[in-house]
Amino acid sequence: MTADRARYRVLTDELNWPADAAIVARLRAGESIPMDERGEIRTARRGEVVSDVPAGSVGWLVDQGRIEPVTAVTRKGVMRDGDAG
Amino acid sequence: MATRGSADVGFLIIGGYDLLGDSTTLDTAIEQVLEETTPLGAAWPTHAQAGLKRGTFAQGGFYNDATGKSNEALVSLSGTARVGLVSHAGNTIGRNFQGFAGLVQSKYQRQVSLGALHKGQSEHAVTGQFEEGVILHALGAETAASGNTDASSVDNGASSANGGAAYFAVTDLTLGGYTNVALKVRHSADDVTYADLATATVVTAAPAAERVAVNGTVNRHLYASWAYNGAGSGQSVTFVAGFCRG
Repeated sequence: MTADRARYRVLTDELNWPADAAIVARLRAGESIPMDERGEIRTARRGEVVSDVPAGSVGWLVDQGRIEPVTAVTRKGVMRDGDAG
Repeated sequence: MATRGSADVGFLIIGGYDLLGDSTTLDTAIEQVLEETTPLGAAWPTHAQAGLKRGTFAQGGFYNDATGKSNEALVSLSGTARVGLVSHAGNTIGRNFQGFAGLVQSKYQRQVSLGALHKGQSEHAVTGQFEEGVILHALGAETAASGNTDASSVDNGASSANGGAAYFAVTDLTLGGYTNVALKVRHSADDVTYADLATATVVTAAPAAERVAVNGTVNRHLYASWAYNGAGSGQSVTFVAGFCRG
């Protein structure tokens, strides 16, 4: 059984990242990729709940208050995404 | 770093007026105010910094009374503090520029002499910061409905913790039916995901210039973006954007 991806609420006006995971991986590896070669750019605006923020960006985005983990209300109470096995 | 000459001056902007084409001289100075601390009995004077910095700005060149040119920019002596931007090192993303938080004009002198083009000179005191920054969008026109300079994002090598200030100047604007144009500086810790760092007041007419101060962490990667709001066609915005880390 695959766990749901963690979800985050956007707390800043706008976030952008490449939608293509392969592009993200190349950037993460230190490659410099011009904008017009990054393919589709994912845009998320304030208040939007997203589950596809590049994992490597989550740390600094949370630390700087740009996103926050979204809590889900279940029959058993309130838990954070990812708490469920 | 390199030596530079007059051909390298990338822009000279006061309050959104682009004066480069009419200017032949530019003097900017930053001064650390010192107080003499020499006590009695000392043979040699001593000085200490008084904790105050002072900037001055003087520009000279040709008198030009065309719309949007030097005379219109300088004749009013309104007393309003206007944002200024100067580049000594070219109009290129990644190059340095100087930002002036508030230029308060103290003098406008028109000079007329036989057999010569009229000249004009202005002097300004700097209210607030005189700061060093990096160009994120070179002065130039953008006609796409939205876009950014991510392809040329500027890597500072590390984040900085003391905030800073974004500078925006719009020297020419045709909305073509759009409501306004929004300008931003955006930052990223990893060059993958970008977030807004500083957002200018939406611009509806040129000339316009603004300094937007930010606090806290400024991530290592920066770029500028623009977006027209509304709908239209034939739009064009000529602007420069940069950021000065605190």
